[in-house]
Amino acid sequence: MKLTLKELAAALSIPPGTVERWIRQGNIPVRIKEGACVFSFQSLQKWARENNLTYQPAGAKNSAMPADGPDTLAAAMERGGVYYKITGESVPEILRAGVDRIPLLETQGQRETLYESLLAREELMSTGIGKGVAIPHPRTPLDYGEIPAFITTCFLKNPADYKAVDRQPVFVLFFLVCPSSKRHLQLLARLSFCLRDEAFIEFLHHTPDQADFLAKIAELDQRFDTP
Amino acid sequence: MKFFQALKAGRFPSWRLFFHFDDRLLLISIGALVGSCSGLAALALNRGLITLFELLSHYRHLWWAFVLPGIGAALSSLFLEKIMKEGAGHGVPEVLYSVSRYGGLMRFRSSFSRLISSCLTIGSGGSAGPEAPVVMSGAAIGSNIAQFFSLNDRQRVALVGCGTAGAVAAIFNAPIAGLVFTIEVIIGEWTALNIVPIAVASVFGAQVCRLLQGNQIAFTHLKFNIDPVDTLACIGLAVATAVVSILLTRALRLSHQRAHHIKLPIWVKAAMGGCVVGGIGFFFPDVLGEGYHTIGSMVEGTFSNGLLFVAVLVFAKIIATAFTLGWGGSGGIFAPCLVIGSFTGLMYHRFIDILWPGVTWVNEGCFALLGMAGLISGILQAPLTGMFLIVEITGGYEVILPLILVSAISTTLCHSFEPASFYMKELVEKGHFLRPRTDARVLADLSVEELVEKDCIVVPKDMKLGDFVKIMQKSHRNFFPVEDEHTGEFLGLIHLDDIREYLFDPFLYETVFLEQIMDTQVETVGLDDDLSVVLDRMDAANLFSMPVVASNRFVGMISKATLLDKYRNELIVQTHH
Amino acid sequence: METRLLHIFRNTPLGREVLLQSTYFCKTIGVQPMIYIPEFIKFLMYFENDVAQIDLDSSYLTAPETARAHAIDIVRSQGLPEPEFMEPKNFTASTLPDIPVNFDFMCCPRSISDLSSKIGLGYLGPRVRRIVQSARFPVLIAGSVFKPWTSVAVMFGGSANAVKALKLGLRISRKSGLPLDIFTQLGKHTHDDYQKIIQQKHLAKDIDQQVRKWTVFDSGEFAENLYDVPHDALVILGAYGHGIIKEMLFGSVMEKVQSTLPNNLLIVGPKYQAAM
Repeated sequence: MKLTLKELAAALSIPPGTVERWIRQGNIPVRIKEGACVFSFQSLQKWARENNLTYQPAGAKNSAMPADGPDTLAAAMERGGVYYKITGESVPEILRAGVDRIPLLETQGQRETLYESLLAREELMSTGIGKGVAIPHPRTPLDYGEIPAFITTCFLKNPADYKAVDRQPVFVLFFLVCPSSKRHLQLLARLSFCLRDEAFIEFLHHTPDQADFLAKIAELDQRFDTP
Repeated sequence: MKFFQALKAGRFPSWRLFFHFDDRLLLISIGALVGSCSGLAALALNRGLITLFELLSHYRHLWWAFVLPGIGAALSSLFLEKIMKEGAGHGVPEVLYSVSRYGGLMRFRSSFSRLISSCLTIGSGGSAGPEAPVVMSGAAIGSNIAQFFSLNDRQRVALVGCGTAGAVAAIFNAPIAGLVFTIEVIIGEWTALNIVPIAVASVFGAQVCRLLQGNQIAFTHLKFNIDPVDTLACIGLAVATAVVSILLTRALRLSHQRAHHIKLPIWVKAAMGGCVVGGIGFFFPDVLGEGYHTIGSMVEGTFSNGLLFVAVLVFAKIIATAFTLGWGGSGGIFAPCLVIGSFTGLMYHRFIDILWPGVTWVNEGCFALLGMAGLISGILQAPLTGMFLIVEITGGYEVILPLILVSAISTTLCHSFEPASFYMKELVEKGHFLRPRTDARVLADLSVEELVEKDCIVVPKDMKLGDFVKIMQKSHRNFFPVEDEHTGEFLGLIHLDDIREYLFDPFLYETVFLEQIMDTQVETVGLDDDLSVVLDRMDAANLFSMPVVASNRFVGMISKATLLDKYRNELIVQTHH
Repeated sequence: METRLLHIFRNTPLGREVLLQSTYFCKTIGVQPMIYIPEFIKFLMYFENDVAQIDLDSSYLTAPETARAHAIDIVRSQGLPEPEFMEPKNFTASTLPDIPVNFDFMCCPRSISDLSSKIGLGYLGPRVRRIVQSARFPVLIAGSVFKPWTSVAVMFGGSANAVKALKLGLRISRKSGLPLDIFTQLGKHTHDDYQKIIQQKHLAKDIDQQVRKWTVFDSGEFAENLYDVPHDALVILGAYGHGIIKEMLFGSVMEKVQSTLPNNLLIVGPKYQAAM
């Protein structure tokens, strides 16, 4: 294979100066021929493995990237779905009803762990953050493997007492479940940005349908990204 | 059959890769070539020495013969200085230096310059050895052949080793000593990748020598019958050789310093030193030249002089060597070590003979031989070289037990008085002694440029704190370099820890400029600074990172965290074969 | 990264002219001068696969006590800030310093190692040649009297090295804002061949935009044609583009140019790698 020094350095995530020196010193199975780095793909990959480095050509790197890129609220909400007319009088009842709606969970066991985790969090301190909104979430990130972060939105049939901080009855819940705490914070920051907007709360009071709701969220997402 | 068919059909794609990237075969074949060439160079010097020595032996008895070494030393120094334009010295430190710093790059002229200059010095009677010059020539031959083939540093160093091994193997007819000396003293790294080509070169060097000179052992000796009591006595001998080694080292240094302070042309100094040697040689002809003939007679046990005379000879030889090498003559320390060592052994034998007349000691030749090993080990601080060399040049394997004992004790004792060996002292003092796989080596290879992190956000000095807080949110670093927006000059550094208390005070946002809160008393690093120096400064100021500034412009940050990362990478890459 | 030019200063009138030339070069294309005042008569340069010993003549050690002040004066007189001085850190032998080679340019007189009798045309000292051959940086060969240049002229013969020289010429013309001319002597290549090379190297656009005039000599002796090169141009050319043996037999463009033109030359060696 043939690459320029810079490309090779980028593929190995090492400064070009170091790669150049290693070639000169003979520490890396690469030769310089007419200004280009010549090497065999297999031997370089073997070498990289043995030396605690990774050889990732430029193309391969991009496909692996999005795992850590920022997520948008709209995408997470679309994954989690929006549900209406949830019934329940107490916190456990509402949580149970909400968890049962979540479309991404496949087994009963998954639902059960999520429910218990949410309940444990509520016992610590209510997630009813005021203005009739609650954001139930597990205490620690729950990693279900393949399932990405999602937010399931549940509008209650009748506002219920959720022991919220401002003692107002709660009418909407956002179930926030993330595989990592970093993702959790990212989404929470976006959500709280939305909820600070009085107009948005007003909008929620009108119980918008799914399409309107997601469109509004997407709009707010954009506002968040362009300060 | 099947194998060859498969080979023909190209079913072993790894075969070509092997030759391209592993280069072992290539290195072995070039190594053989290098070994033969440096063997020839060694032989040439040997022949030249014998010829010159014989030529001059007719004049030795004349009263003015004492100027001969002076003339020789002056000529050799003039030759090195004016014609070759190389510095004086015996050359081994230069080889070590180039192996340490520049992957064994050496000048072409080095491959013959020392041969001629040392031939003049030693042939005319100066007290020095032909080994160091031969080592330098061999190393330069290896280096230049490697340059011709455009090999990389690692391969070039291996070939420099091949040259050294071939030369030592040829001059002593001692292939194992060539290999061991190269690995122990020159390369300092025991890996198969080095040892194989060097061993092959050693064989070729020795073979060339045997083809042209016949297979002779340098010093033949009588049969030794070594009793346990002799082995015990060797402990005393080891102490004696250690003392003499230290004396020799100090004498060499002293005479070098003295000569350095005299303001005269180099060749005049060399001539003066040579004349002193000639004067000594007038009374004790045994100190002149490389002295192998004297060693031979001692090992054979035919050297008949008494204790006192031998003791005087030890000192005379030390002084002669110090005057030859310290004052500008050209040559090595190896042969004088052997001579002084055998004198020491002999002296020790005479001494214990007087002390315990009743005991039947082994033949005095054996002690001479052990003395040589002791001195070589002590001066070079290379015990293995001492052992194998003596075994090979005397063919006396039966002395191996006391030999190991003397070598080990002598090395240890000398090490405690002179921490760095004769060859390495200068390099260690200047911090140029960089053995593979050591901390110093890794730090020397990494440069500030490779470590600098450039993802810092540079802020202008006129920025308001409020704007800065917004920028801060986007950076994942704790340091913000401040520069003059017009000249681009680096002014100072803002560290989040220092300004944390102001950050949450919106009142200050509009009133404070960055210029007012930055730290201007920052220690900075230049791009050309050595990493070891940078680290020392970090440690001294208790810093974890420092800004890199080149001609008043901020380049990036250098931090210990990244350093550890890269240091580890470097260490793994360097030690992985 | 800061680009730097290494200048070995000689504290004599001749050295002054050469430093003036260096400083002018630095000022025109925005390079930082780095001055070495030799303390010893020789030094080593360790290149990638070669080590060159440079033996200076004793005029380089003239009046060391005033050298630094003179150098600063000369650089200042051209309106540049105080130059950096290079102190060698490593020594191969006690009187043999190693000079680093990580510079972007180096300035040499036509001969480093001989007396001023050999600074005339037609002679390039062996050390200068060695540096050109091994260095990764282009070598500025200054004339014996300081003369500002107001245009850039590239000798383009079509070889790989000539392409490098052309790229360097484009860069220097961009940085200095001075016009660029190209000179080509037609030989075995035709005009179309050159166009093809330019196309292959994706230089066509740059050349269209930046080159003032491309002069092609299709007849006559090259040496005679060189008369058309402006007297106040910095001449850039590639050296040792062909095999050594061929060069010894037929002579090279570089030899002709350096023995005919008294201009300042910037020579691009075979190991030159464009830094930017």
